[in-house]
Amino acid sequence: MKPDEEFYVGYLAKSPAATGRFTRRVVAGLIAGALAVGAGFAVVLPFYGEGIFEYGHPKVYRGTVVCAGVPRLSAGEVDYLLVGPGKHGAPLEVCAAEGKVVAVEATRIARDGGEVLEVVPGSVKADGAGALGAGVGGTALGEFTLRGEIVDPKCYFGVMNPGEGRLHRACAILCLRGGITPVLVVRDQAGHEIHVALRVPAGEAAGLLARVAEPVEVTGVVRREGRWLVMGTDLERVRAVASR
Amino acid sequence: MSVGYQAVGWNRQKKLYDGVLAGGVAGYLAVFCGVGAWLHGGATPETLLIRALGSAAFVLLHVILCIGPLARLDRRFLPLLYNRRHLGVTLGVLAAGHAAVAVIQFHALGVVDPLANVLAGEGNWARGAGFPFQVFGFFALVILVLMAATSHDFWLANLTAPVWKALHMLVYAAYALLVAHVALGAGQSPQGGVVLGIVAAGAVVVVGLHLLAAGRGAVVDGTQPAPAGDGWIDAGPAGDIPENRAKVVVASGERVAIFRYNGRISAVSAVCQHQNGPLGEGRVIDGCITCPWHGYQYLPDTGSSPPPFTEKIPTFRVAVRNGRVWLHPKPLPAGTRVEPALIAS
Repeated sequence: MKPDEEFYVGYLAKSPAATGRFTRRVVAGLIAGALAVGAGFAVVLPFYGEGIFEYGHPKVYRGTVVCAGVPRLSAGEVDYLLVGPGKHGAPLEVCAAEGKVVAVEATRIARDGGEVLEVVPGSVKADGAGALGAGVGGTALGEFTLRGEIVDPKCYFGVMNPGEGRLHRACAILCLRGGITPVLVVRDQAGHEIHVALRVPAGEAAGLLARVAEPVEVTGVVRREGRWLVMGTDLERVRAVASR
Repeated sequence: MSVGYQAVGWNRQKKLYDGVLAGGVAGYLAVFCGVGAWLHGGATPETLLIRALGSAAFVLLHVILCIGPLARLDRRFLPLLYNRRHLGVTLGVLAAGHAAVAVIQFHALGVVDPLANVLAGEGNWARGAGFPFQVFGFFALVILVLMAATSHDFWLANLTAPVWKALHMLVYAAYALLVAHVALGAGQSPQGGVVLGIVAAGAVVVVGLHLLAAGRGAVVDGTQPAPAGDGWIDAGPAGDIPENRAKVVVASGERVAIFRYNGRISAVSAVCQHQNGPLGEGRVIDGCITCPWHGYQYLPDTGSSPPPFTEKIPTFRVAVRNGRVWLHPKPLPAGTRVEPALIAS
């Protein structure tokens, strides 16, 4: 009997020989093809960041709380941007301790020189007097126009990997809605990055969300505040551009 | 009429089918995560899992969609079709897993309800390629889960075959939604061109196979013998019909399967009551017309499934005159017995 004359229904105990051979070959081909496609997808979807998130290993950090530009903990050689758990900005208790030296329990997030701390709520404790670190105060550097992508620094610097681009856009918007400071990531042609925290007028924060995770050009006055660059801008000076 | 759950009968074929399926899915996830973690040290487990589950579901959906037309084009693919609903349930589980991890990762723990953020978090509804891709994935998931949940024959019997079939035809809507989901999501990433190429290649295969299979069906539908003066249709020589097999003709707009068996001719609707399977491509086994898709059986003269089964399909009056089969195109109520026409030796 030729294969196409065989008739087999799945509830029968055993398939005819030719049908069985054909089915085995097809299934082997399907699985091999699927595995190849899976490996291919894994290769063509690299887009992973290189950040660090010390999840599950919070430590105690000491420094001076500074909230004038963006909420941060200035601790000598390192200047941490502060965020809260989940998709929330730094807890209110952080800026209530503005200008004070504190000890805070937090989880470190880091990438390309950018340092972020996820503060454990209720863990901010006064830890001495006076300022600790070089980050108190700031220096105006002038007006600049920078091209890059607005991200939420918590995901971008290590929690998500990738915490940028189209696939992460909804998450980034949710993080910024929750009070996390927006950061403009600027890359030169060699791939070197600078990170500029953005500060917009209080009433314009929601409008900025429409420009998240897409190529933008931002104009504003840049200040060095501690080890962070902070740009003061407004919505009119945040423009979508065609490509990076 | 009452409908009850019946335990799934696990035979060797089903165990093999599900074993290979589980192994294939596990292998896919392992390869994706292994290659991803090897090439990209910074990849988090959540990201790998989201992408592995999502791409596995997308690949499996292509396999599911291709099995139907392949089985129509070459009956040797029928063993893959027999338990296709197992693929559908697996697809629903993969898609739900992808969605669950993605929602936890990207949409939970914020100031907006996670579901609201999925549907409206991005808000860019009029920005072309920036259109929120999550919305397409959400509605595709609803369809896939609905299909998986109603895959058991309990729902087929409860909803009736036409309703069940219509419901499960939504798989094509789910496919279109998922193409949009991937094209507007991963397709817009920096490596999106390759992703779009893979999606396009998949669409060409799926659409191409369906067009080929439809072309074969159109040949059958195009064969509509004209009725004679007495209203009967000349369906051709009885000798042209292979023993225990059928010839399909179109009468009154419906496909009719004319079976030859044991020197007799009987005609029934060519549409199986189970899942609208192509009865005309079936065989007469143990005296029963047997559907090639899932093996549902009907007695040729009554169109009724043998007891204790209760399925019934319409029958047609037939006659053999001068070696030619004549068919009356008016269908008789499902289960109506018609005396088989005898083929003169």
